[in-house]
Amino acid sequence: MPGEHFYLSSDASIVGIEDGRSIRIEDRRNGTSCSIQWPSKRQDLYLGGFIHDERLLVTIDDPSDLAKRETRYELYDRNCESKDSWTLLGGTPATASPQKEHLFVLRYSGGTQWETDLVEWPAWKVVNRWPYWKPGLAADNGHAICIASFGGNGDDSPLQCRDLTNGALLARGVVIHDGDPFAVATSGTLVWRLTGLRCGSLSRKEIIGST
Amino acid sequence: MISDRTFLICVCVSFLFAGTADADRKRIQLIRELDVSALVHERPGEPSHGHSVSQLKMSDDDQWIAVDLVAGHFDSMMDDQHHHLLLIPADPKTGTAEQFDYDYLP
Repeated sequence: MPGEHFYLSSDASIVGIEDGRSIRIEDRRNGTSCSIQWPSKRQDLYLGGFIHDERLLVTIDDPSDLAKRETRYELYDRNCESKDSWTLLGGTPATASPQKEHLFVLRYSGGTQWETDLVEWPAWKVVNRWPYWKPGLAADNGHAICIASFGGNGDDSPLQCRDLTNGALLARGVVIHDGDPFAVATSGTLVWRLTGLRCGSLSRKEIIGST
Repeated sequence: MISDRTFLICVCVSFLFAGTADADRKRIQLIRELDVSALVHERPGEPSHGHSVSQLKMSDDDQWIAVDLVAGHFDSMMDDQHHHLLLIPADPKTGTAEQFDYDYLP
């Protein structure tokens, strides 16, 4: 999710790290390292994971007027060279889907309107959208999205997962409190959460237990 | 949690969902136990300090475990933090741990 400090490629041969005011790419296969510098003091960089195994997704975000800003998404190779980019009005930091050819973008579309877009790469085409306004992580090979919801009370914030094909709420019978931070197994069906010193997990069977 | 010795415990969890009487049976097996702090290489002259685990990840092929350690207390995301990112092979026969240090600036 936005704010994670590092990502691994599928086989961990590439590691993307947020290091101070730069993004560092470690190429473990070739034993080399390179950096992507912050574009300007006004902008922020966010790591978003890997697309197609070897393209590191970086969001370049300008924290100014949300409705007017154009957020840029760049894909860097293991040599820190930009290989593709895309801009989106009202976009916020994106995360790669485990399907490797999609990314999730939380987008502000004016007023109180927020949505989560599923964007297909390399066409950069929005192929699905849902009216969710919280950052989500893809689970179950990209078939579900799990969202940490902040209920105001830090100890009572349920974590919820939805089926991306129809938007149905999964885990209807399971309530996980204090569901942030959390992580999902990219190619599996486990959802992990960290609550203080405790960790928990759910299998998909438990997630869909009531459906 | 902070201590001088931080252990990583790897377990294998098998979920059996076949439509048999054994459905729902779960197996958990301890694979390995590691003293992660012993793998950290500190900078020369670095004062003695403990570590706390900030994040764990696994590569998609399950071959590598990433352990992100914060030097000192992991109290607040508002403070500068020095991290040791360790990449540990799931199978010790396939390689040795690698370390990547970085600084988090809020």
